[in-house]
Amino acid sequence: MSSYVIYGLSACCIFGLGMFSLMANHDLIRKIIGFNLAGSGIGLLIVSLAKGPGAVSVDAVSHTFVLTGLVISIAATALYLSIYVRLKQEVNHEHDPSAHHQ
Amino acid sequence: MDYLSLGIDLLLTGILVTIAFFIVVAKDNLSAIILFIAYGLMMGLAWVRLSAPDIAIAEIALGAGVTGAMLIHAFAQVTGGLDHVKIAFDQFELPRLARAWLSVCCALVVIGLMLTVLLMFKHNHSLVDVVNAQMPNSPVKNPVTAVLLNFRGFDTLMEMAVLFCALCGTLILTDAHVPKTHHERPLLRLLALVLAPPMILFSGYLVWVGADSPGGAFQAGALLASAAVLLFIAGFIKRPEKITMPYKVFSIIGLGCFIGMGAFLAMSEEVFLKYSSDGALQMLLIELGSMVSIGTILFLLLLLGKSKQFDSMS
Repeated sequence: MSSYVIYGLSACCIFGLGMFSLMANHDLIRKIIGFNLAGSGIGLLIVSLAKGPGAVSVDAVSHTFVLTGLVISIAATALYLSIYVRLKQEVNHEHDPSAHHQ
Repeated sequence: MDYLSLGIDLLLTGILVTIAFFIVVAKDNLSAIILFIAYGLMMGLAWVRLSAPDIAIAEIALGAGVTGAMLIHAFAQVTGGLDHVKIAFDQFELPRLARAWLSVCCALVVIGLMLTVLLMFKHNHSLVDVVNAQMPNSPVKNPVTAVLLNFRGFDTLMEMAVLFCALCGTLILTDAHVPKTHHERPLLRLLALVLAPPMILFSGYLVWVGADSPGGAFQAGALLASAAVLLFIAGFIKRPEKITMPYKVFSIIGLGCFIGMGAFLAMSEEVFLKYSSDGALQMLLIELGSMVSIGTILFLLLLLGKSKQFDSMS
């Protein structure tokens, strides 16, 4: 059992757990965390597959994919979180108009 | 393959899957967020084991650090005043049968992926040979930097644009509020005074050394953003009431350097972003602009989204 197979299999498990959290958890923050988890698992899968048998040198293209994906997940997470916070603020304002706008 | 590395790999992946499992079944949100930060740190170790030190630096700085900080800010803003507020789908909890069926489906997907991993690793479909054949033509020696800026430069250009769009979206959605009170924290000020200058210096070093060793603009930008957040928490940088011109300039300079350099090269070399004999210097200019821009954008993304209530408690 080589190292890449171990990491590949665990990456599948992490992706599955992330997707389950994204779909089953009712709280929005848990969905966002699940989305990040799934993205991280896919990155692990890509790099571990690239390190297959016969790979003597570093696979730079897979590393670049994962690096770019990491930065883009952060941008997406920031946007999701600002939507989440604004959503909570707007619903609060709607239910209780006397409360001063946060 | 010897037993020590096998043991380390099994232990590390066991920890990773366990942390991921506990993130999913955590009772409250704060535990899930803190476990997620721990997960990011462990992933950094996994990247090192997979011979990907660039990704390791980026994962710890961005995945664990910046994402964790953003999640905690959002959580802190929502608890406190807005805890009792329920959005429509907060109350919608899946019935047990649906949850069980969902977990079965996810398990089937995972098993399918695992079979793919076990069957697919026999064939090496990657672009390693193409990249290695072109490496002597590249001005930089680090293959990841070469692919990022040279061979797949367009992707990095679009990535800078995506970051900028996320910043615009966050600026539209949230308001920046002026803090009411400011608590004195001498220990934090000391920490920021001691830590921030080496962090800024080290981010410059990361950009410079990214040409030949693991490093690069994204890691340096993340470090710069962390230094800025540290200075902000300690009180040295005031919260921007409105986004003034320096912030605007620093945010756009990454995209601007990229497109500007591409246009300049289009005029001199007739192809957009085709590096000339001075390729290393041109790449360094692009990376410097990107580093400043990434640092500013991540700092602003972390800041915006703090409410007045949170500021008065800090």
